Amino acid sequence: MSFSPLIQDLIDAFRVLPGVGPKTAQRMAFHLLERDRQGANTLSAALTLAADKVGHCACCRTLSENELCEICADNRRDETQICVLESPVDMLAIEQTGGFNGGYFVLMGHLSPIDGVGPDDLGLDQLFKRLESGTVKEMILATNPTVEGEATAHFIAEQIKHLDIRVTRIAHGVPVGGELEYVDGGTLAHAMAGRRAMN
Amino acid sequence: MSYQVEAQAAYVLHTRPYRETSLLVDLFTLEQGKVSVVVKGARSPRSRMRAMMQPFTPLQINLRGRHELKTLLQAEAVAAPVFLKGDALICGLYVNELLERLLQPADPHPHLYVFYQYVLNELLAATDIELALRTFEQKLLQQLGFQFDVQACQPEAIYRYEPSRGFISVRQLSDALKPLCFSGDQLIGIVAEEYHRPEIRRAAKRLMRLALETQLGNRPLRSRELLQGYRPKG
Repeated sequence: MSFSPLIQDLIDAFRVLPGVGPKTAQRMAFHLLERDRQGANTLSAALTLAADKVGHCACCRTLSENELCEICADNRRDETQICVLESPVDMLAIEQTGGFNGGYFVLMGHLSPIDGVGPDDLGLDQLFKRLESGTVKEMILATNPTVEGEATAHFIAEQIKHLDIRVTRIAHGVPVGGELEYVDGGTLAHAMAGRRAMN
Repeated sequence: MSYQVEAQAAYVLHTRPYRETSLLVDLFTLEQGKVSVVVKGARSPRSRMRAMMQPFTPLQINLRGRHELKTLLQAEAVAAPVFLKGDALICGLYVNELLERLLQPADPHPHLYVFYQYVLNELLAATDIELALRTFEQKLLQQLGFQFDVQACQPEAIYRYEPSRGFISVRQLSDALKPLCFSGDQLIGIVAEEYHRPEIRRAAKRLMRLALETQLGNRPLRSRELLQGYRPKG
């Protein structure tokens, strides 16, 4: 049995979501149509609005419906520090720690030559312009501790060598509450190499 | 019939996300050459595979599968990962990009595997990266069945490099031809790997680039752009 075209379209539309296969898509579609028409309307209105209005912050490139995102627009933030990240979710993670009060720059990815992702795709000219304006005193490179993330961090640091900006890289280490025995060799080697004096 | 490989030495060349929590990984293995595998659950937060499926980590792996895309059953790091830093890291990505682009799936190159280990060690030591890269490029071309034939070359003569025909003697050197031309002395030096001579190094860089370009077709290597530094477009 095949569904009528409108239902089939709805099922196919749900499949764009990550982790949603044909069966889940079908369940979602029928739930909305059978039990929750109100929810379906709210969902569709929210989707349309978000897809139309959400763009990138002109300053840090994170997702935002305003010209400047909330953090960039906030004048209580410390403009002399800037934290460079791979994705908006990373920004959320750092914000939740509450330990950082500077600005951000979101690359929306990392350099990956084999996938064809180069400096132009990460908005680096925008980052360099912001650094060249002179307000930033420290740049914290918080790209992921993967080979590509490391390469991205190195590449950015290399390009701004001529500027008088302190460039730092987030530390690698053992997770809080972890046991050394179960930590993978790579992390442990990094943690040993990046050890700190206690006296 | 199921096909299984056990305790194979391998390095990760490249990974990309697959489905919700898995990875598609291209491996360079000692006995099978380049192999693509699915690593199930590698992207879930608690996966032990996550840290291992990084380039430049020497692994020992078990695989299964009948088709071109295999399933990774097990992987173990046999030594500490090679932590490349700075330009050596970008050069490592360049070497991986070369292998990713030029090796055919399931075409074994055990000699090249050894040279790959050599180049990684040299990149780690970072004493003479250029020498290591030139040596590796020449070995790679040789393994792909691409020899530089310089037997007929005279040291004083000038030769033009023609990818399909080899080295052709040139009488009159014009400016347009210059980037394609080498002296016989340079060519003999390159094949003999006399990289301690600076002019041989420069010529080797040029020759390898020309030879690799023909193999790569018209899609340039992206990692090379990274080494040349950033120049905004427009």
